[in-house]
Amino acid sequence: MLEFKHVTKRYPGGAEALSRINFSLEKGEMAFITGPSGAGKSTLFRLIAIMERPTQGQIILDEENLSDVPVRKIAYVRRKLGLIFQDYKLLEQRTVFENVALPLIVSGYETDEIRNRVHASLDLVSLLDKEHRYPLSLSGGEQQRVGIARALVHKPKLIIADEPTGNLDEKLALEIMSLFVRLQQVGISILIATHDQHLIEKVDSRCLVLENGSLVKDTAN
Amino acid sequence: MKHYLILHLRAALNSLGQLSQKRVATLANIIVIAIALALPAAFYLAIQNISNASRGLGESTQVTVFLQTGADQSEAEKLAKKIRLRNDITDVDLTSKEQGLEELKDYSGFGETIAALEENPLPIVLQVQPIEQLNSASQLDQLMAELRQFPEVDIVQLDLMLVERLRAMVNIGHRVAWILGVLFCLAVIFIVGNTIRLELQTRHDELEITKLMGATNRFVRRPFLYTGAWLGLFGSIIACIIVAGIYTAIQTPADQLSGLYESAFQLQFLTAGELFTLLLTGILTGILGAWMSASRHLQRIDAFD
Repeated sequence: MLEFKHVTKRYPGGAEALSRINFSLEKGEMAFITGPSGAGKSTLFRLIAIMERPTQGQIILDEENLSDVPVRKIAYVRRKLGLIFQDYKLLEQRTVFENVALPLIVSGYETDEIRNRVHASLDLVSLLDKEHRYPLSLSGGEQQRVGIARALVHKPKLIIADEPTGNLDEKLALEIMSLFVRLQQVGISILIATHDQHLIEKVDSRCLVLENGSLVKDTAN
Repeated sequence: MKHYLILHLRAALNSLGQLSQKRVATLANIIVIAIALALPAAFYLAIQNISNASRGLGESTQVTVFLQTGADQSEAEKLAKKIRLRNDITDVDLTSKEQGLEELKDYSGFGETIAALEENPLPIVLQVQPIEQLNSASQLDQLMAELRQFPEVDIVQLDLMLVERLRAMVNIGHRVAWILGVLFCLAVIFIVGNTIRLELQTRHDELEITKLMGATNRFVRRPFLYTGAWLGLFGSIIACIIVAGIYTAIQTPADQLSGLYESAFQLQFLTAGELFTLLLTGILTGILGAWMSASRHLQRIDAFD
């Protein structure tokens, strides 16, 4: 599903954010990425979402080489992804419903289908009763769950999540993790960046450890 | 197809909603656009009416023959008869010295001054009406040259000259109207472009998030193009109303003026086609302005590194 081949990302000024990263993630596989801040997790995510291009190496997503994707096709690649951000990135002027519907709206889904899918997705994160609220009237944990619902709603092939449980209490965090496990079972690949060692131990999944831009440990090997 | 319609309908309504949320700013924009479109349109309408008025004048191509002041009435009548016999002339109208003086008294406003003259200084005048087939410049020149051959004749003048000059001025006016039109359209493009640019800046984060959720640039641009189209449409509708207002304000005095000249001339409003063109121009310039701003902004979002 996702494969990094000798991927290096160097920023202008010389700093190497990622050096020769190699790993692959199968369909329906879940993996954690961990490591100190500044280790390159965000850069890795930005490369997958084609917000940046690698300096060297190749990233293969769903049999497509991301380096070869022209600018006008980037949107179609992103529709295969479910992105969960640490800072949620919700539209403050739009209701919870509209936020979750966004990936469907941009792909031109019909209104009925949008309603059904958004409701199903909100139900998975237990926020069905808050669909008409605006993000700023919700707690941090609730906003985080809106972001998660938005990442699921269009049935992506790969979910990449940056600290998806950072603002959730342990009970909710475990609920979200069990939701991820269920998604994984229906064939969605999931890549989760987290600092939460406790969570990693509990879920017992593959773990990639980044340090100074290098992959220092991969529990799959 | 249906999918495409849904996307367009959503974008159109979405942008209308955004505009209605900022009523004052939107209204101010629309009025500026309306004035920018109304100015060239009103100028065009004025030129168009002057052009119509001059068309009525053109039908009376006449040659005016001024006789030598020494020529008396009987000589003049003989000459008139001679000219009338020519087969390229339909009629000759003789104005005696006395008639001429009367007309001058009546129309010039110098009645008392003229009455004080000891001697009538005016020549006898013949109004020569050529046949209709005689309409080319060379034919008229030929006729005028022949009329000048008569010893009693002093000056031969073609009244057409005046009409021709008026026409030439109307042509210049038309061209000026077009130039003004183009300049003001550019102004509208920049007004809309700037409005959209500010809108894009305030909604930058939203656009970025929308793009991350898989929106194409076309999808992101579309509501802004509709915003431009709405601004242009509303602006041009108000421009039509402004021009109609100017027209109504001028109509009564124009009719009076026309009455004074005993002319059948009537002030004309813009035709349906011209009104449609005005609306279309508003919409297209709005879209163009929005498109320029939105494309530039999206290019910046897309720029890597």
